[in-house]
Amino acid sequence: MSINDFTDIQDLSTNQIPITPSIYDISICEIGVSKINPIFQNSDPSWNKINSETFVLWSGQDTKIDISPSASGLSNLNGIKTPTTGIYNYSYIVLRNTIDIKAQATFGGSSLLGPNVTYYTSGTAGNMTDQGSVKIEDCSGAFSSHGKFTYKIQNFDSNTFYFHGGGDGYPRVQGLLLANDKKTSSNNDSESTYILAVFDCSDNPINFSNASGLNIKILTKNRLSIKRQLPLPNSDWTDASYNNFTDDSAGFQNTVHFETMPFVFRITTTNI
Amino acid sequence: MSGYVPRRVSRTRTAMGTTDQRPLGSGSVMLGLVGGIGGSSWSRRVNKRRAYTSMLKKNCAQGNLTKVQCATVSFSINISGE
Repeated sequence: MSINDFTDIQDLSTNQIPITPSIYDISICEIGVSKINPIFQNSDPSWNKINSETFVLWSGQDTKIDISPSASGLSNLNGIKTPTTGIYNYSYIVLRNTIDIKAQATFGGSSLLGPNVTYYTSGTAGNMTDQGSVKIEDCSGAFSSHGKFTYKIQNFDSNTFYFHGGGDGYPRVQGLLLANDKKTSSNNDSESTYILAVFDCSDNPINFSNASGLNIKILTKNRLSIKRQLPLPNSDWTDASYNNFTDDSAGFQNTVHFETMPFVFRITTTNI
Repeated sequence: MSGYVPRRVSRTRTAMGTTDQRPLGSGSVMLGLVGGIGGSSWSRRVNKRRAYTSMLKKNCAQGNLTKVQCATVSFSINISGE
């Protein structure tokens, strides 16, 4: 079984199955470290960027990087500022809130699942705002039709613009959606142009005295999901067939879509 | 012969004005000054580099700089998915 090939999954009662993207392009705008939490947490969280507490390691033109597990990533950035001595408890990345994703998920090959079917990201947005529409073909279908779609996080759960990974099993990660000016917090879906992603490393602070570099590892394995909407005729993915999910008359068009989970990552130093 | 004043001595100047007396130690001061004014840009660069290198060594020994700064290598950032 290859990645995202669900021929041997028996329990398909869930409406959301984690998958791994084959392309996950992000655009980085700024990387820095801070002695204090860069996100000021009150009823209206904001970017607490205080010059005396912050060191901006890199800032520049948006730089696109494929961070899917199979990609090589980026070995270096041009124009990094050499850090001076200092100990920092938090690191942060500012990225553009447009993530280009390519993925597929194949079901089939068993009596439980019915006919073989593969869901591809189609390369265009679906009817559901900013979620990837799907292209469905049987397993012999032309893989070349597979395309990237652009995902945008409009808000987090409950229409909030601040995310804390604690509830998701990532207590050291926080996120804040920023407006066009790359400073103020977003307060409506259409304003969320940037993501401030923060990693709390206070249990092992970054000490630049010995550091020769930073390693930023962004988790993308199983951080995408293929998701279906209710109602469904049956309770499992045996309905994940061409007719049930693409036939307008059945009322289930775009009930299957791809969705990314919150951005989680970790930053460590490399030493001389 | 009366009234002859050696030309070199007559043109010696001090901050107070012209005098026939050479100020004590003025020779060595002049040598240093001549060396500073007349030195080539290359020698000035060498002197500057020597001063910088010794300051760098001193700051590194005192732990005032990071190891990257002391090794004068580039700080790197690697980004990848996992």
